[in-house]
Amino acid sequence: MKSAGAKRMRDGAYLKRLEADLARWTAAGRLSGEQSQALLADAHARAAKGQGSFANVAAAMGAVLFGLGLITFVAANWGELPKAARLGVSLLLPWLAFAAAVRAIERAAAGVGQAFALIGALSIGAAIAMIGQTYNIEGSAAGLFLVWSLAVLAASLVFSARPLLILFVILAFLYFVFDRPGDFFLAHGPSTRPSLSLFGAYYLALLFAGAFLARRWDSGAAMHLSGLSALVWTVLLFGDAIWLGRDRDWTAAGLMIAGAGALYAAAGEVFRARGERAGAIGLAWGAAAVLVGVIAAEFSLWEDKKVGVEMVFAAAVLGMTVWAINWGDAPGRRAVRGLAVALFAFECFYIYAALFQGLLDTSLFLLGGGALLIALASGWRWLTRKQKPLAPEAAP
Amino acid sequence: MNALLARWRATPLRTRALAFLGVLTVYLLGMAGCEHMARQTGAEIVLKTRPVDPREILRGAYVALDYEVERVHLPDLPTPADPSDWKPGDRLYLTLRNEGGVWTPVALSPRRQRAAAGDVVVRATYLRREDYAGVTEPGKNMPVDILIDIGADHYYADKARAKALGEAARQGPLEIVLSVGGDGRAVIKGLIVDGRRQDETLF
Repeated sequence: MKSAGAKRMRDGAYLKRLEADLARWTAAGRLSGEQSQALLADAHARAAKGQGSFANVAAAMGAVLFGLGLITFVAANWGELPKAARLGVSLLLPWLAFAAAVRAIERAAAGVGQAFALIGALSIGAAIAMIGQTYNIEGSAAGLFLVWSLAVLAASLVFSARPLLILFVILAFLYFVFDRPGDFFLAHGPSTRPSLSLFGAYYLALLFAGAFLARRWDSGAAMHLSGLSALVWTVLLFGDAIWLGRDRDWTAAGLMIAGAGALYAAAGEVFRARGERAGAIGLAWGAAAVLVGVIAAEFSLWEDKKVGVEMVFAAAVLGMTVWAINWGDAPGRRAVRGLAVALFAFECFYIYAALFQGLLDTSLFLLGGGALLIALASGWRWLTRKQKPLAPEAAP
Repeated sequence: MNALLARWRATPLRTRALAFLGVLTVYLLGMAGCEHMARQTGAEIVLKTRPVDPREILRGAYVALDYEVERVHLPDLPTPADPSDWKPGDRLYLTLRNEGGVWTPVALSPRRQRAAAGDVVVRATYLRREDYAGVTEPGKNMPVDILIDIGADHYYADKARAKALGEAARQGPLEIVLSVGGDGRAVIKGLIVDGRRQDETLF
């Protein structure tokens, strides 16, 4: 409820801003009164539609709780029932849930239908686990998540349901995490055996399938989760898998992660320029990968005590963040700007803590950098004023 | 791709849902059926085990089975084995021979050996080696224990039964009847508790 209230507040603030902007543009003659009214009506309609979606969100949350209840019911070992009854219940649950979903969708209750489809998708996992338990079938968690995710992918295609797509992206990611060899670098150190699962090769197909459908169905949550998954995959690929037991070089790994992030961001920018939301989200996660890579490389340089390289690197990163903050001032690029501000703040702290560790040296570096930026900004303003005089309607 | 998706969307929802549920049902029934077939058709061996009763988030309470043959003392093997190149996760094949009613390891190899009549070859995963550095004299070949996993190490039971099996195992060894398929995969066929055999059934 708190988030719904916060959303209403955000919508209200946006509508007030829009009303003021529209009045200004109408007064300046850039919009007719009719156009202004039409735009305002559209914005009000979108805000009202957003408030109405609470019922769908509540239904989806209820479905998740119900599905989790099913899974924990299985974990309670319903040993009193004979095997045939257990098998029957395992098969019946998905049938009942999906039949209810079809019925609800056919009666134009799409939200309720998707909630039932979500229960059905969760019950598939419960059914696989129940049959595994009943017949003592050996299997890994990765195997369970792979089969479950593929079944949920199929179900999401059948129902064209975004909640199922989101569940698929999550399950596929869990498959990737559990399928990796035991020497997951965060816990156990570098890997020693090359394998396709170490590189997440099989998972890539699932990741692309999720991202493809998320873009096609315009599911923001699925797109963001795919972006986050791609970021984790990239970090594990360059931070762990490619070293295969040799001493890991985090400077190189960080630069590779940042480079891959820059490529993702460039690809995202191509789609963003075409007006696609998926492009903006891809751009944001690519920028996040750049941030992670740069921070990883800087910490590695810090440990190596290469002060000269660190200074050049820090100056380059500061320059990059200044460029990115300016470049990110455009629709669909705001996340880049936010991440660049975060990296700028990190870099200032890093310069003090890693490079100089003395207030006087740090202040000299920062004063020099600040003066350079102010000079650049002043020069830029002078150049743009000379080239393009202010439009009369924009003048105070 | 677009045409394919458009054609798929043009199919009525009921038809799509029925096709999906049909495939899902066949898969789930196949899971149970294949396991039962493996149980019925494989070579039968009986192994002693030490159980503990942990719990799994998704599948509930179970008895974890720790088979005695999963610790192989290399000097005891009639066929020498060289574990120097083995890495955790490698596939191994354990040959077992029935010696007076007890199934005993006779060979352990990364390549599948041709089994003598009456022997059974079980598929296993190499876990680690335990050297006895400091226990034996330096410079001599140290005896080595190889730890392997032959699978079939979860017996799912409700909490009360798992506890009862644990109690029974403390009184005397719990024996598991395994069925080993042509590919070496072992599946649980039944248990022998207090000398009474209880086989797994389909229904």
